[in-house]
Amino acid sequence: MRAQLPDGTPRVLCYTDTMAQSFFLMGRSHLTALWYAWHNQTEAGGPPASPYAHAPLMRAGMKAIFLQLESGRYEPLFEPDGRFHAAVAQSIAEAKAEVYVSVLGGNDHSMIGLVAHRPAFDFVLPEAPDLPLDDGAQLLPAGLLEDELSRRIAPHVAALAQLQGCAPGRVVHMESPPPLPEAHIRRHPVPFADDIAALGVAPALLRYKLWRLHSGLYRAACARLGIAFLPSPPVMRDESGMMHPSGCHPDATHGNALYGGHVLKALLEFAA
Amino acid sequence: MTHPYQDLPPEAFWSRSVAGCAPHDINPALPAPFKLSGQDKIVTAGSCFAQNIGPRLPGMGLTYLITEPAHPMLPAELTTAYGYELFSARYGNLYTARQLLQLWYRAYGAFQPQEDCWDEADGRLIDPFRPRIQPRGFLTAQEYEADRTRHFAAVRRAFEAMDVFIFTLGLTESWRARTDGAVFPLCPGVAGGAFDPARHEFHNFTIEEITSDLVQFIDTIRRRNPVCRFILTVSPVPLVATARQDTHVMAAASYSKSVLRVASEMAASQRESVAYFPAYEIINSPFTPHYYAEDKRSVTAAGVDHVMRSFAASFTDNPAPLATAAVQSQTQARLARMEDAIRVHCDEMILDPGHAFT
Repeated sequence: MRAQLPDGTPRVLCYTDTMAQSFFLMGRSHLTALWYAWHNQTEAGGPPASPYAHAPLMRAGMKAIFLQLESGRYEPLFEPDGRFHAAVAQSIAEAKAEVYVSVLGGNDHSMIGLVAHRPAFDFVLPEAPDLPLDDGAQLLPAGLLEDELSRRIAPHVAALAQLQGCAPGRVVHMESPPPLPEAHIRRHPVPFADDIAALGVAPALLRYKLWRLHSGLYRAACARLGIAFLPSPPVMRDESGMMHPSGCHPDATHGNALYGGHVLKALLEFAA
Repeated sequence: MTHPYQDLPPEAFWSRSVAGCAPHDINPALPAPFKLSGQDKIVTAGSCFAQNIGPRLPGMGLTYLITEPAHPMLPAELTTAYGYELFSARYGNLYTARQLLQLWYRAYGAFQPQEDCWDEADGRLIDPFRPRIQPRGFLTAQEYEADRTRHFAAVRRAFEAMDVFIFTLGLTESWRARTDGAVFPLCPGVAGGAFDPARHEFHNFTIEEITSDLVQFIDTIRRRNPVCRFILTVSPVPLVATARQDTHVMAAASYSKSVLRVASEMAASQRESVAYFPAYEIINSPFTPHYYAEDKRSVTAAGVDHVMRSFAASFTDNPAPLATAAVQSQTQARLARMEDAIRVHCDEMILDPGHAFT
């Protein structure tokens, strides 16, 4: 029996057994897609009772330890001196993994840009300045939005720095999934159902720009910290850069096991 | 025996209106020639001291017109750093009357300075006429152009919709382009651009020039907005530096403030419904409490409070605060943040390399 997400996402990935690697993956909600994907690849049977489990998963010489920070067991994540919670530090040290994978953060662009705002806003994306602007929206400086996103992602960047500082292996950060199509969000508005009902979904192009801006900040932080940055799999994006419908988890922001599988594939290629 | 002083009111006599008053009760503002109502839309502009005025108006039951507002999703600490709501539109500090006049002409397309954008070596773009409006400048040419277009539209909306315009004159010393006279708020090279003596020159505006600029601005506004009234003030904040090599900065500041004071009085006397409000006198007087901060330049919150109390007494029929507790609470919270921010936004501070600028 293999793990299947409620939407019946099929297993389409096939990994070889030749890449003996050990991985330590830590993160919050976006980690779940990778966890399901990993589990789908195992021969170990059905899924555990909770995706928040902290347990090594073995497969043909490969080991992955998933540290799901949402469990509450690791709060607050930082000690007063700025170091990781002792249990997190212990998990990192004991894992002795070859590759440490950050799936930290990744939703802050959605926090400010998934639900439509009144007044609507738009901005010029510095890396793609010729993308159209909404003439009826308030124009905000890209630097201002960068500063706001930087403020929001600061705890995740601090965690990245800690991970880089204490991980005995290579560290890589996985880009968060691209924004989901509006039709999917309207079918699965969780966890923003009330706000979406009241205000609607922000325009796709704005959500795309915010995701790119957000990813650019992580990419820059990784460069500063000497951490590899792995972009989301291009195969899981549609022609406009948004998440392909087949990769959407049944909520407003996350990728599903298929998406997670492609991320894992990219990770394994990186680690090979 | 009779004489003209016999029937004058108490405020005409130093003994009664200055020497006889407690320092914090001295109010050199007489009842204004016009009153403000809660419905009057008020626009503010001027030097950094003017940043104190607009945000305090709602707490007095008055309407602060903002045509280029901050987006409500963003924290005030950030939007303040990007120049939102310090003034009615995001034009930054307008230190001189000429800058104000040129802003009007630029907003309506009647003046396009030749030096209209500074390309920095790192790819950022700086607006020469509001060089510190964005901490990192503009990141792309597209953003620069789009923002400028919308900014000018916001300026036009403010000037055309306002019922009252409060302008705080800050400086006489300025730097301008030799070719077309475009006046910069900061010397090129200080917060962007590069100083070139072949292209840039120092100019110390005279009483006649400032008066003329103010009157021309008032007349220009009234051609589109005939009912607009004007309040002129002079910033009590001294010059951070003088470009006059023959003059001590203290003497230069005294001269500049004197010129501004005279010019504002002259402009007010030449047009109807133009009032002068003595903010400068309240802060700078040795007989009011000491209202300068440790840097002997910044004005303390208590000083601003004194100024605005006098303003309310002069321009409103209800000098007691009119706002609801909720509005006051919001305003006070914003003011507390602004108090921290005000030093940051006095952008001429960066002229002084010895100043610990944060």
